[in-house]
Amino acid sequence: MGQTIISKGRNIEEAINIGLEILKSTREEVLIEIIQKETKGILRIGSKPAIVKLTKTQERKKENKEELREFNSVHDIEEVIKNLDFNSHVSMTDEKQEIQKLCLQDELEGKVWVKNGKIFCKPSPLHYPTITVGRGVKLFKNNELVTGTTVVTETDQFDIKVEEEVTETKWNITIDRDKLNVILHIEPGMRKSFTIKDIEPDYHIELNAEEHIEIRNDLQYEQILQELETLNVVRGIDFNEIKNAVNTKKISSFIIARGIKPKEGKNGWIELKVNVDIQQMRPKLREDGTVDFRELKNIPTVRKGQVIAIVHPPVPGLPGMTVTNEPIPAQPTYPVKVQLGKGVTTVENGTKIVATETGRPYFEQKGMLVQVSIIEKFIHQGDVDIASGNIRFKGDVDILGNVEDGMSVEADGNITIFKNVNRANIISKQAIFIRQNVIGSQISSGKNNILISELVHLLSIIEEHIEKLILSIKQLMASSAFKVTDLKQNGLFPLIKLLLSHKFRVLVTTTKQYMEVSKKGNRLLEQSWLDLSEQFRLCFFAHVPNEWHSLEQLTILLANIRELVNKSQTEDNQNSYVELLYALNSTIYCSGDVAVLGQGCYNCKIHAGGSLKINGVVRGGEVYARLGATIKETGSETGVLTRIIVPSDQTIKIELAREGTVIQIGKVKYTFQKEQHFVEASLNEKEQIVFN
Amino acid sequence: MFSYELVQDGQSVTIYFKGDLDIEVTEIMEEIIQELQFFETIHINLSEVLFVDSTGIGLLINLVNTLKQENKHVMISGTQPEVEEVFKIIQLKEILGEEIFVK
Repeated sequence: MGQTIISKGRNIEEAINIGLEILKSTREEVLIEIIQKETKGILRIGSKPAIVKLTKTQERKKENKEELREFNSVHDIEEVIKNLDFNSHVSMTDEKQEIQKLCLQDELEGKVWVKNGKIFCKPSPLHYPTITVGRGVKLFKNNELVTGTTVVTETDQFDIKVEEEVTETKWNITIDRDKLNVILHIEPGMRKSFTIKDIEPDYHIELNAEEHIEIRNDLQYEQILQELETLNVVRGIDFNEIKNAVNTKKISSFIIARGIKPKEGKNGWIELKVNVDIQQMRPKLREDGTVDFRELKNIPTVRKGQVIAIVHPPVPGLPGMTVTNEPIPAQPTYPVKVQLGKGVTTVENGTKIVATETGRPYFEQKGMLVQVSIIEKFIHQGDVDIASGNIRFKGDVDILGNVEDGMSVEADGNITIFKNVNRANIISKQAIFIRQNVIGSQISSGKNNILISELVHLLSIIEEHIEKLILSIKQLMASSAFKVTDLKQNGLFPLIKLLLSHKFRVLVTTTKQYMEVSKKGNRLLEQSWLDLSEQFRLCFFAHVPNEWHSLEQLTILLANIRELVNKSQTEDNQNSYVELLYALNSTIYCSGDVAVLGQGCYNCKIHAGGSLKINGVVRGGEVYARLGATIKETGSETGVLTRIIVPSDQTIKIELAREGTVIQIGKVKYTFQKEQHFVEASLNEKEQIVFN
Repeated sequence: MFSYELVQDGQSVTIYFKGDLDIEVTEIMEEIIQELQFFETIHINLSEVLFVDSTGIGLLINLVNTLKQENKHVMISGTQPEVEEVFKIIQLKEILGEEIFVK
């Protein structure tokens, strides 16, 4: 059945017309019942309106029509009379109820409500109720889907449909790469249903549905077993976990089968039976911070026949098993490869390394390669001077006296000097220990030397500027007003000349410096350093164009510089170390750590490839420490310029920084204008120096 | 083709460079230096120079430096923005001196 309304009018005709107006229907589409005929004061109760009930019946249009016609013509009078009769019999109480009902209906006027999942409404001529469709509900108005808000009239036909979402149980089984774990991932399915609640009458209602979620895990135990079978999983199946998976209500993963991991073996290794570590060779520090050289036992020695090390063979691993019952081999293990140097031999099938000479054991391991040898020691009683001549030795050297003016001591092993070094050269490929003072001398420890460190420093500046030079050239080439007419004839020659005349003047001075330094030390340098010098000359100082005046060649030059810098920096520094008490007007170069244990250094240049530790004062000069510097005191009361330099990722620690101290971290400098205690400086992310 | 024009005013002269200042100008530049010997104040106007190359800039530097050595007052004006850009990269102002460039 369609909508039904009750309408009033001064007479039946009017009541019907008003009703039809509201329903927006024609007389043919409705069924009319006359509830009350109008009275014009005949019964002296005063006038009463005519009341009719109109029921919309769309489907039975034709029938309606016929019925109506019948009603209108034949039964008209009869009905009227009936109604009259009825009316005349209506008691007063009935009438009152009728009025109450009408009042109630008035309250509902312009409102809409939901009852038992259906929409009811009672629009008034001035207000039509509205419905907003909410979540989980589909509302069809006259068979059209409603989105958002719609106006409700009584002629509209509404259909409410609630949504129902059903998700299936999702699951999969994966085997990890090593075939050691079978993982079952399960997302239980669920049914989400909605029901419409009753809604009280209102001018506007929101049609919402209540959500009900029901979790359904329909994964079966057998399904899993079947899948495992198709995946060939036969080993280490965990039936408990499968049960848990079948019963789970949550999204989760279960390891339902496990293989056996191979047990890793161990590579061969060397067990040292003697102390070879250079770090432990330093003299003892007393509690008050001074050094006791009398307690020095810094050089380990082995006697003939002493076992230096035991060579352990590799321990093979145990193979594992995959879930598909395939064996997993363990990682192969390798023995150490021992390279025997001078003064050592192996016994008992190469499992023990034994010294055949007395001396200092030397041990170096790179990956699985081990080098062992005994370094011979030369002990020079007394001073090195004109009488003794210079000393050069393949092993360690001990000088019990001084090294005097203009003399030099060179060794492949450690050099220990028990007294002073005065205006002399000390060069060692390993460590240098000087028990007393160094004055006006050159000290160099490690495979590199001072010369190379200076060249590398220059190259880093040159590299930076050539990079910029290339950029500038490219920028010029891209400028619209720049012609390259002369490029064919002269290459970049005129352009490089132009750029060097002002913008890259630094390049001129630094490359000149490089050329001079490398020329001076050409006997000590490898060819590649000298080649680079020649390339600089051709590129920047030629008077006529040559093949170096092109972008490609400049790029090659840049690559050459970088290669050389890298090569020199990767040289190992594990055995180089310099230790001394006090230095004045000296240059100290070391690819490893540098320690100044006594009073400090005055006006010295120090380069430490490792860390730098100075227990005393640094007054004047310049120190560089690749792995950071720790210094007790720097600068002076009179403000002597003292530079402390470390790379950008390192820190500088100074207990007392006096005036004139300049610290440089990376490229950032800071100058102390007044005394400062307990300085610990490093760079922050914004490349600024910060003090902690 | 490159050409130039001299506009004389007593002891001072304005020389208008016309065309691209490039390697082709090398020989003409000799002639220009000769011609400018007679003046004390020299304005070089580059408003009709649209393109330059490195040799051309080299020649200009050489010209200005030669004239300056003879204690003449040299000024460069009318540089096109695109050419100015090139001068900037080369830092020509720093090479010749800021005071030489006038609007």
